[in-house]
Amino acid sequence: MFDNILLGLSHIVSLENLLLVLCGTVGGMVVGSLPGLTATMAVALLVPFTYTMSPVAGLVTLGAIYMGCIYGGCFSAILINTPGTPSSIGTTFDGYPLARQGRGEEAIIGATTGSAVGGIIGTLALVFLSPPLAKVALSFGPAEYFWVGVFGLTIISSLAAGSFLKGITGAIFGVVISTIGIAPIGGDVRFTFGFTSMQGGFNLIVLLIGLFCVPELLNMVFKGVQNHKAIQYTRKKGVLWETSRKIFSKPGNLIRSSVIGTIVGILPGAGGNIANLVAYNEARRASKEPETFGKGNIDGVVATESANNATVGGGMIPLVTLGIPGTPPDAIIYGVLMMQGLRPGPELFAERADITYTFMLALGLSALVMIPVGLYGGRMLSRAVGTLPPKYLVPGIGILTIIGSYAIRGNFTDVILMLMFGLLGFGLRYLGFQGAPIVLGLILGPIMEEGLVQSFLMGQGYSWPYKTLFINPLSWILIVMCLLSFLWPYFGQLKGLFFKPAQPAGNNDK
Amino acid sequence: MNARSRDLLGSVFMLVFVISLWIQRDYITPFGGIFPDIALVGLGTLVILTLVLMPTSFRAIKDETEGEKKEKRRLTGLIW
Repeated sequence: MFDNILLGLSHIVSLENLLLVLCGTVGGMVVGSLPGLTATMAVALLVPFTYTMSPVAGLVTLGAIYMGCIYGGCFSAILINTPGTPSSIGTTFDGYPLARQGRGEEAIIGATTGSAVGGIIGTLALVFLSPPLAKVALSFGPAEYFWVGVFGLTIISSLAAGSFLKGITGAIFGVVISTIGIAPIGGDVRFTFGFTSMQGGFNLIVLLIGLFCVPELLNMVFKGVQNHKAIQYTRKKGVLWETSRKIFSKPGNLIRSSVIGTIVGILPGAGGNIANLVAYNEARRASKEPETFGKGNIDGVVATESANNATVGGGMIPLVTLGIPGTPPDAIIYGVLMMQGLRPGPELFAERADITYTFMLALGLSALVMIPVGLYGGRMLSRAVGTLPPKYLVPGIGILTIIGSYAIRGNFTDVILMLMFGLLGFGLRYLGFQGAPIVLGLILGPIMEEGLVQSFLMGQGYSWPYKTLFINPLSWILIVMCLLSFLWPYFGQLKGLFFKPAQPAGNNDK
Repeated sequence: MNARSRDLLGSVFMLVFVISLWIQRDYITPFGGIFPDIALVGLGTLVILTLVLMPTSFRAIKDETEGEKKEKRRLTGLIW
């Protein structure tokens, strides 16, 4: 493993990769700081710019954009009380009050330090946990892959916004869409409605751009985009040192929030938007002065920002070890890996360790780059947040989505499909089906199908061919995990049924 | 549109989708239909469950209270 880390380090320190990390991080920060543009949208929109790059350069750039985008959300959260990305919702709670008190620089330093530490801890978890997990994944057979797929579907449905029923229905809808085209085993042509262009199935990146970008654009069109006035801050002497001292005097907050972010990131479907709120809550619970939270406590900013950046590395762990994306932007990186001919999973470590480790280390480097860029370029960014005319956003992003989907294969059908799936995603979101479970269903569908059909073929000797799905103890561990994640949304209700809260003494009001 | 109507519309859409794929089932090999059939039956079952639960308090999407709407606007609607 250490040889591979050194190999990755030797690649990442090349001038080309360093520049790509710098540009990707800055680009991500700019997009992330614009209210309404999510990290998923940024990564999806910027994928086309990586088509002409080598696989490693493309992945390094996308990783840096993702990391920068999650961090960039803090600027608008702190300076205009509007989270740049959903991952920064918690940052508004204390960041904006700090800025209003004239302590904006302090909040930015807190967010930058938290993001950098969170990003690095997430990357360390990715670098050191992924290889042993990939070894475990090597022992997985078709049955285990099938159950991993089922686990991914149940957990994303439990964690998806809205109801579990809508989440699981959306996920299985995605699975059904993934079966359109030629079957992976047997070669049957399925559900093409007679269109030969549908025989190859749908291009994943086209679907992702459609499902993630177009609904956001339509939201902007229908709800309108407001101009925001950002609170400007001036740099004061000694604040950097004083704030850093204050933050590092409580390492527990930094480490706890980063660990929360990493763990939440590992869970499929749960990203920075959940991690930042969980970490904020835990920071407040652990604080000696919880009453100051929400009024401008720097610990709140540090907690949310370290957690959301830690999800970047954490979310990559299931992606590189099992081929299951942890967060929606990971789903896009999954698509890019497939497009570059790299199959996410244990094979990545066995066959393309150079690319895998360079990519993983680029995330850590991007987290480091955020410190100087954020601290010294943050003021310029904060001005840009306030001055960029929002009316240019929708047409600009619209053009990028069209170019992006066309550039994949130089095929106009892809543009039409992207628009169709965009409209479908917008409609489905209105009807209660979120995009993330659908996308995970699309990705997990083929994995589950291969696992199921191969298990069926292997079980021909048994009276019931599907028995192979239940023979291995590993399968049973995964089945138990599936059941737990399936029942998770109902735990709260069951707790309420059996453990009714005690009535306060003397409260006899009916 | 209230939550119940959205629930109904979503379920009808999914049901039409399932039926339109189901009538196209035409597999050549014995393996081609194993997985899609399970997925289609699963999706159909979930849609029917959504429809069954719709008149009950367990329905999939619920109308937001004014307080929830305000909180949602404060947290995410702020973006727009």
